Amino acid sequence: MIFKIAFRNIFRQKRRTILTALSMLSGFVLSAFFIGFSDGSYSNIINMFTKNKTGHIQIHQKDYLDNPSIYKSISKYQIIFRKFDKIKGIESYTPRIYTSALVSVRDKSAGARIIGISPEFENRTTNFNLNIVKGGKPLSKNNSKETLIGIGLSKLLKTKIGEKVTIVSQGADGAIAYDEFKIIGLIDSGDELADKMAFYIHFMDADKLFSLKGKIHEIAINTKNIRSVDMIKHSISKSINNTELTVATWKEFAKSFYDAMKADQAGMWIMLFIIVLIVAVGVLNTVLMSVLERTREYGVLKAVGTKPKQIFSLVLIEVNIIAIFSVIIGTGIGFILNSLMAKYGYNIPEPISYGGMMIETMKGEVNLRSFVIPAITIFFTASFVGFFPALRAAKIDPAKSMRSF
Amino acid sequence: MGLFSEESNDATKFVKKMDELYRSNSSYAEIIMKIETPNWKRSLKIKSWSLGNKRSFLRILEPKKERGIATLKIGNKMWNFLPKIDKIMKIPPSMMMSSWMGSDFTNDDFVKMYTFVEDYDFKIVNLKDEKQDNNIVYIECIPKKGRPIVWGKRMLAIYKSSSLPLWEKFYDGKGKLVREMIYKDIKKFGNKEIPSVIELISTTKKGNMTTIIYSDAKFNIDIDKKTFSRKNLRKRI
Repeated sequence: MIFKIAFRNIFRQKRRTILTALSMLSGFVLSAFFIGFSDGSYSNIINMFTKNKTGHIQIHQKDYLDNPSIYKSISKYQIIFRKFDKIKGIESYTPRIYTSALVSVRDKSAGARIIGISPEFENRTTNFNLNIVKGGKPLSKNNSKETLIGIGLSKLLKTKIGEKVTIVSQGADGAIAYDEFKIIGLIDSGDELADKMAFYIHFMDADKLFSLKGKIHEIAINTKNIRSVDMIKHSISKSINNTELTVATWKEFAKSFYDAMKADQAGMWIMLFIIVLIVAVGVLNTVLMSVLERTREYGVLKAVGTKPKQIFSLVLIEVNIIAIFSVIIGTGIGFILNSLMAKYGYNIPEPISYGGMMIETMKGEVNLRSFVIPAITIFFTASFVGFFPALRAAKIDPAKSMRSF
Repeated sequence: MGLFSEESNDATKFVKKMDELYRSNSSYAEIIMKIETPNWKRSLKIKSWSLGNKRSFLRILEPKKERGIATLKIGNKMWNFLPKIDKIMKIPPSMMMSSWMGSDFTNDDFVKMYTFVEDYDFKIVNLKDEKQDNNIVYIECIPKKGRPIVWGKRMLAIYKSSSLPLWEKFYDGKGKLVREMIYKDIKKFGNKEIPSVIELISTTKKGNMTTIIYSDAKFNIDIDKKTFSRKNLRKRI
C-alpha cells in the first residue's frame, strides 16, 4: 500500500524526482569515477615500481636489506625455485646478485653497482629488456662477459656501445676480482639515480667473478594479483621454511614508497568525503523541498487515518526508490567512464616524476569498490537526510496543514 | 716556558721520526700482509719500494691468483695494474677511502700525502686511561685547518728511549675511535730499527684485522726513478 503511494508520488512530480535523482546520480558517478581513477593511477604507479622493477615479493638473507653485504647470500636457490612451482599465485621469479665495484673505461673511473641477472628470468619477471635503449641488445642467454650499463653511468664513463669496461672489486673469498666486460647496450629504467650506478651482467658471470659458488643475494617474485601478496608471502615462507631467509612484500622492502602511496590515498578519501558532502546537501535540499511542498497532502493523508509511522516510511521509501534508480543508472555510466579511462587514460601534458619514475599517463581502473563505496554512501546519505523531512511530515498536524493552502 | 719549548721540541722529534719510520729517503721492503675477516682469511706476499714521500710502488707476488697486481703512487695519484686483462686503472679520488686489496688499509694510507710535522698540530698529552710509564709518551695530533684529512684526531704512543711507536689510534671527526694500529717486534734491518709487525684493527668492522709483517727491509738505498713508472707497472714477473 505505502509502496504504491510512494511510486505514485514519484511519478506524479516528474520534475522534482528528476532533480533529486540527478543530484544523487551525479554524486554517484563523480565518486565512482574518482575512486576508479585514483585506484587505477595508484595501481599503475605501484605496478611500475614493483612489477617492472623490484617485484612484488623479495627473498633475502636475514637483515640483508638493512645492511647489504656480498656475504649475506641465499644458497641452493634452485631448490627454492622448484618449491615455487607448487605455490599458487606466483607468476614469475628471478635470481639476482648484487655487489659494488670500481668500473673504468680508459682513464675514466666510477663506482658502480654490479647487478647479476638471469637474462631470461629477469625479462620474464620485470620485462627487463624494455629498458634497453634503442640500439642495444639484451644479454646473451649464456654468460658471455657482456654488460648493459645504466645510461647515467655511460655518461659518467664517457663510453658507448661496443667498448670494453674494466671492473675491479673483491670476491666473496677476499681475493681481488677483476675482469673486462663488453658494453652491448644502455639501460634507461626511468630511475635516474639507479641508472648512474647500474652495471648489469649475466649472473653466472657474476658468480664466477666474485667466487660466489652458486649463491645469490635476492629473489624477486611477481604474483598474479598484487592484492593477494600477503597471502602468497605467507605460503612462500611456509614452503621454504628457512629462518635464515626473510620473505618480504613490497609494502615492507619498499616501505617509504608504500607509505607515500598510503599518504596519497588518505588524500583521496578526504576528496571523496567532500564529494559525498556536496551530494548529501543536494539530496537534503530536494527532499526537504518536496516535503514542504506537500504539507497539505500529508495533512489529508493523516486526516483519513494514516499513522505518523506510515507517513515517515512513505517519505523514506520515496527517497530510497530514487536512490536505487540513480545507483543503477550511475553504475552503468560509471562503468563506461571507468572502462574508457582504463583503456585510454589521461595523458599528462608534463610528465611527472614519482619516486624516480616518469609517469606520462594516468589510467583509471574498473573495480568493485569504485561502485560499492559510492552506492553505500548514496543510500546512507539518502536515508540520513531523508530522516528529518520524514520526521517533519510524520508530525504534521492535519487541521493546521490543510488550512495553510 | 723553557720546559714547555723543550717538550714541544720533543714532540717534534717524535712525530718526525714517525713520518720517516718506514720510509726514510728511500726504502725497499718485503712484506707479508695477513688479512682476517669474519668471512675469510688470506695472506699476501708483497714487495714495495718508496722514494721520498711522493713515490711508492707495490707488487703482489703471492697468492698465485693475484700475482703481478701492482700499485703505483706518484704524488696524490694512484694506479693499479691488473695483469689478467693487461690494464692500468687509475684510482679515482672518490675511491681513496676504499680498501686496498681487501685489507683494512685504505688507498689513502698508501698515498699518505700528509706528514705529522707539516699537516698536524701536535702536543704531548697525559692519558689517564692508558698505561702510565716514564718511558712512554702520548702525543695528540689534530689536522691543521684546511687540510683535507679524513681523521679528526690521531693519538700516538711512543717509547721515549727509542722514539719508536707502540700504538696509534685514529679517531673520526666526531671523536669516535675508528681504528687502532699496534706496532710490535722491533727488529733491526741494516742499521735501522723498526717495529717489524703492524697490526691494524678496525673498530668499525668487527672481526677485521690486517697484519703487516716485514720480512726484509732496506733503507736509504739507491732506487731508480724508473721504478715508479707505468712501464714498470706493466712489467711481468
